[in-house]
Amino acid sequence: MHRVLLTAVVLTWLLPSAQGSDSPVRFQVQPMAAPKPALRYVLLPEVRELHPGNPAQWYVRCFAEQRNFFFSKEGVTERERYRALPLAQLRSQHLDDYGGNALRQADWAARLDALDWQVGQRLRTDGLDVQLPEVQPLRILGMALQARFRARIAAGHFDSAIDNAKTMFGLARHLGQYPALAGNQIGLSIANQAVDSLDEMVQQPGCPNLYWALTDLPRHVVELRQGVQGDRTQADVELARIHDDAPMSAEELEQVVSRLSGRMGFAREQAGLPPRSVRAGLEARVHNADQVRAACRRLASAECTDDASAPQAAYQFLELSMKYNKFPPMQVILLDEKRAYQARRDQTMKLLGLEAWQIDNMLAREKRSADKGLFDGFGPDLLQMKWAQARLEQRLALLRHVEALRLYAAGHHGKLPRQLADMELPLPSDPFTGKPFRYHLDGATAYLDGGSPRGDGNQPTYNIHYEITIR
Amino acid sequence: MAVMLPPLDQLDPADAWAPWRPTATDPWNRKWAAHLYRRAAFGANRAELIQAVRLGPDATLDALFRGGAIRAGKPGVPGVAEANRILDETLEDIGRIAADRDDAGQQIRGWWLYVILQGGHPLREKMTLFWHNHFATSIAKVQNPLLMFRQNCLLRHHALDHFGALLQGISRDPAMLFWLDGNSNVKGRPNENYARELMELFSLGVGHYTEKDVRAGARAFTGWHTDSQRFRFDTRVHDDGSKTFLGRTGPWNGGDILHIILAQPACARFLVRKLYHYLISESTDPPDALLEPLCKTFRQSNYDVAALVRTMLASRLFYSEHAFRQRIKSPVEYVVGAVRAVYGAYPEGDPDYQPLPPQVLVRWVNDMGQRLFAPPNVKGWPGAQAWLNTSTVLERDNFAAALASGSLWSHAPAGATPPKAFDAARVVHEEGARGAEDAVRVLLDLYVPGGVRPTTRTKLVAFVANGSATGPTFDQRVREAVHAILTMPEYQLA
Repeated sequence: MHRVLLTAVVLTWLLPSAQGSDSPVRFQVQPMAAPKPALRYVLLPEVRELHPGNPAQWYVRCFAEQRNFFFSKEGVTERERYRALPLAQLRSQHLDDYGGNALRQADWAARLDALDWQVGQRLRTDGLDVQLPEVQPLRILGMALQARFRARIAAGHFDSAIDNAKTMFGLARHLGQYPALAGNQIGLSIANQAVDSLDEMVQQPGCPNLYWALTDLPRHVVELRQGVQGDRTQADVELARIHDDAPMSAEELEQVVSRLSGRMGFAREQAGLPPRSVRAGLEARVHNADQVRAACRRLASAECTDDASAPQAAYQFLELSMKYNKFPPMQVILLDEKRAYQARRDQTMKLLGLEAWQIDNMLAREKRSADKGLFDGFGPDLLQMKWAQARLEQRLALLRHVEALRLYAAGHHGKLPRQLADMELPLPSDPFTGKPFRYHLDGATAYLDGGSPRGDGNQPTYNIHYEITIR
Repeated sequence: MAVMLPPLDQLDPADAWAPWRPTATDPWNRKWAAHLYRRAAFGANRAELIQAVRLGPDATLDALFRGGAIRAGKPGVPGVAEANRILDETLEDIGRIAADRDDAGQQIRGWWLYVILQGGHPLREKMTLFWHNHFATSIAKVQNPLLMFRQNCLLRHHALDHFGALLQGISRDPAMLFWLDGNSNVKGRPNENYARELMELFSLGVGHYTEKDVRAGARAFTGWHTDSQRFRFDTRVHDDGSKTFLGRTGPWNGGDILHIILAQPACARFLVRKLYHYLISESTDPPDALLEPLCKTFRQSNYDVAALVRTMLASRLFYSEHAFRQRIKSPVEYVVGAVRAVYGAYPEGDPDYQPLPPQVLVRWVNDMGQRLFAPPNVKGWPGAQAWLNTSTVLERDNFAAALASGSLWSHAPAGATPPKAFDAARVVHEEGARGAEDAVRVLLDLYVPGGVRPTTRTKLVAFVANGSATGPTFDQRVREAVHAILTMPEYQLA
């Protein structure tokens, strides 16, 4: 069950290399017209490339092919070096086929048509006890693919570099179908790595224009829906251990508390966060008779099915109150926390189908409490996941702007437009504002500014600034 | 300048073990505070050093014994003990989950490093590590992370308790029973493994028992088995006949054997000497006469480990050149100590806060030669000079480079500015140091209080001074200087 394990760690990996407000992302690009035909290049495998088969198995086969390549100390050091070396130095390394067969398995996998991660049933039966050991190595696979991507860019082999990008986006998209957010998070991380390298590629002399290739990408390259629902399923299996039909014994309750405390704590341990005691909060509440009584009332009230104005409603409430009064205080508190968690979770989940800026606006109006309940650590913070998804989309949208500027410059003697509207091309809006990106031209440099969700404006990963000049 | 004590064989034991009192010529300062933290914990960070110097040796030692409250900074506040109890239960809850999803010990190694780093009771962890090496049991044979975890909890629970309770617990511990073949110890076919190690390595030492005692002891432990989960006494295979053990005859069982062992003067002598090497010095073997007062008190206190440890750590001998830098840091001490010194412990929620994933450290500790939960044999790690060889020194160097550059936890390219919490150059800014001389003073004061050789200092200053005195390139040189400090001979010493 590496889902919880990965939660906080991966959130830090999701931070792409493009810097925030303190360090602008600088592009020096050549004018470049659109390729002919316009979709000569695309960034995801097309239907005509697909073969029958389940990609999940083939991604795992990458590691069976060459374990040392991925995990040995030398392999790790070499990979990190190739991911960090300036392109000019990477050119001399002749790494076009870096990873050999191991990465060719990933190319094949990304072009298979019947994805099935084959973990859904286990999530439904084993809940948080399910381990997902195949997920974590895929992040390493993404890094290896990025190293090969950069090597191909450095060599000026743009066609094969774009093939590599297709594999990375294909893998990221497949991970978006993983029924646990931990998988979706890795997908976002890999897609961000692909964008890092695309940012480098479009600055290379002769790089084809990718405006239409970027336009062709789906709205969400990495989906979160499966992951959110998978996590919800796992959490509900765990919460079902807290019975609401009969009093639980002290031993049963200790088992539940120990599991909860261990799970929450283990996620924090893996992420390197200091221990936070679930037990302390629970014990404080259990020993407060007023809080236990109030919890009983809330549970009875939430369970009442009769209209509160109906005569029998009071009777039903009384009956339910009496039921919960017979429960041990620890069970009452746990049930109350479970009820509150499920309500809070759905309040957030219902927003995830909206655009990031729409969610941001709604949250600003609702002024939600920042209070966290006992079970809120069960999975990643859903809003942070949504912001991470929007952050990727913001970077893709900004890159599409860069490519639009190259298109414009190609048709206007290398000049940049004074305003975005001059380009007469459809341009995506900023996912965080729902509005066009802020743009201005100062001399020979174009400036593009991205927005941020409210309250996170000072985070270094937001408020992204692009500076584009034409070579 | 510290007051020089006479050589060990000329030292008056009463004088050596008397509580140390700082003087004008030998004051309580960073040198001694760091010395205490290296022995009673895994090294101190800057804030702890500052606080320790302010509190004085007694209050610092009290805080280290109390645990938890060090972090809270509110010693004596009601509820601290209760908070510590709940924290301990939480850490065990976490360890149980870690063990549950472990196979070869990787997860529980990370968990233990987490407890050491963030559990709030480094002295207890230091002693848990001591007992882990004393009752050395390896997952390589036990093959069960949950049992290894439970043994670790047992060691922790009794780490500063009475030794008898720990000995009783470990003799019934399922991991130990697997390790030393308890289940094959049956009436008529006694397996001597546990009885032999019990006396040779766990309590008395060679020369204080005979082969007959080993055989009698093994018979007494027949039937002390495990069902793979817990201890089980199988009366059917227990030999309840009469045995003569260490001169006493009776129908002894395992518990009786332990009582008889604890009644031997050799037991206290064996443990006191081993603790002396762990807490005071491993470079010299002290004369019996020097240890005898401690042995006597230890026995009289019913083997109160906490009292013995406190006496040692508060003594004049401890705060003398007989103890200062007289041990080589084990890999755990080296890694955790360096991390604690470099890491900026901002509160969670602070913009500069960075988490500290313990799993990252496991590989380094392993490669430096200390695979926790897998000591090389029943004698444990030999320690001392054996920690340092061409391979492990190289690992220490590589680790120091990754830590000092800030790349240990992130994949930042070489030369990039690390997050503030991981930035080894941060301390220079925090102390407002200006120029190379000042920066090196600050670094040495944090990493090697007590000084280094003058030539080393001169070289460091020259290195840091080579370029501009401020800005990113200066910071980069400071980080490289930290790397150099972490690889110095002085830094390898506890």
